[in-house]
Amino acid sequence: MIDGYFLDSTAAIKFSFGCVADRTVVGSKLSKTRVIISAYVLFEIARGYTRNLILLHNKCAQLGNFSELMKYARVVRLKSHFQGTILGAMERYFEGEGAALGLSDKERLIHFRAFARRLIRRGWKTLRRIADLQVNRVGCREGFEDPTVNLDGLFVQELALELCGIHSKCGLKAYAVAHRADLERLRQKLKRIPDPDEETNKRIRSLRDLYGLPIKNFPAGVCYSCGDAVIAHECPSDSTILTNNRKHFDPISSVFGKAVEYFEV
Amino acid sequence: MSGPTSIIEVEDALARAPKFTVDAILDSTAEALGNEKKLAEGTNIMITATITRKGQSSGVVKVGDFSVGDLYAFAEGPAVNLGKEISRLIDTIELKLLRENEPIARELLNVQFWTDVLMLKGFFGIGAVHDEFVSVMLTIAKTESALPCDANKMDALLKALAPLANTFVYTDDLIDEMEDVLEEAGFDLNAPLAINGNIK
Repeated sequence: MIDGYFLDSTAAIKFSFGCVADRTVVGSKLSKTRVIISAYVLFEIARGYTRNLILLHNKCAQLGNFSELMKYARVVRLKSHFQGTILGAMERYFEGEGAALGLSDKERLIHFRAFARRLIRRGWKTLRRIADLQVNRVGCREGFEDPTVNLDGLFVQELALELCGIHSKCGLKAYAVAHRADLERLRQKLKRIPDPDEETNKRIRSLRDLYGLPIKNFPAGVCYSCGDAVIAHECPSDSTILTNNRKHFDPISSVFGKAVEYFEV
Repeated sequence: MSGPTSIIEVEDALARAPKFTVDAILDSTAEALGNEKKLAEGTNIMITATITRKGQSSGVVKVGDFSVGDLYAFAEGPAVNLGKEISRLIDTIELKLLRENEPIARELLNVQFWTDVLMLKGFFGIGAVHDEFVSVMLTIAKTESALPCDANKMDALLKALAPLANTFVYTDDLIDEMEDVLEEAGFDLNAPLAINGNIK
């Protein structure tokens, strides 16, 4: 029996920032039970998703047309999944169905900027309201502000990323040390996966940085690499993780004995 | 027809210039003024034009004196026109689309309606919130123009647009109300993300 869905980032993003079809798939599950999210997942979304969206929105103010934005995105190497979902989808839209809009390159930029603006404002608002319960066993930094628009019309969201990985400021180190045995078991399991992908390899390397020396700081990227492991571990034992990331959650959740439900979009 | 040959002629030509010429000058000035956020009330602005003729010194001619309020009012022109366009769309929904019972006639009206909505792209650039409104309208126009007319959705669109027709001051709250109504009615405001838009 499910005593609530514990959302990973994919579920939370699909519901908060996705198209109607995505929201319907995730929403149909969420309407049946209580919804739990962690401060860690919220921070991960702010750092890995909203921040990219904010960058693209703000960059539009400096550029003259949409094709310049595409070039820029390729140069700065936004996270591949992000570029594929937001910018890539928009490019395909403009070239395919959206061609009928008859927008010039400059108008496409304005359209995208306005689209991103709404996505940031409303997506974040939905994300903040998505859960019945927010947990923070990890001790991730809370209290960061919602994205706001400054006098220049640019979005800002101060996350103080420089504090990530500082053991005295970020609770993840203490959490990992306290659950060292679980994370060690996970690391051993991941090492036995034949032909692991890049993400799994990074996780294998990063886990040891996490549960290693208690007062040693760790690079902020370690947190990102261990994200799925941290989320699965933090999930309350009577709840079910909701994600569409079967590939990575399958091995992780089996080690921690956590129930997982996968949605398909 | 030869152009003016003296400063006096230029001033005379400007004084008799067609309204859109003067409007264009005022709009440009108002746009430049938009960045000046704190001009005191009662400030007067004289607009001049610098005329440089080939091989000769420059001459300055006066275009006119205007108050700050005048210029802001001129700058609001496009927003006012957007309001009028929204009113026209509302009328089309209310007086034509929702009253038409003959299916083909309704579909013909529907085609024209969404074609008219696409013309809203001409209002891009008024401001960030106005742009968001236009962006939403273009997004739903693209999706809905591929579908038959849905009376429930058109009714919701009517409700969503009504508060926007009588104001040119758009706020996030105002636009949120509109977007809430549209989403509630099943419009997909994030439709472009449905195109191969998997996150992971």
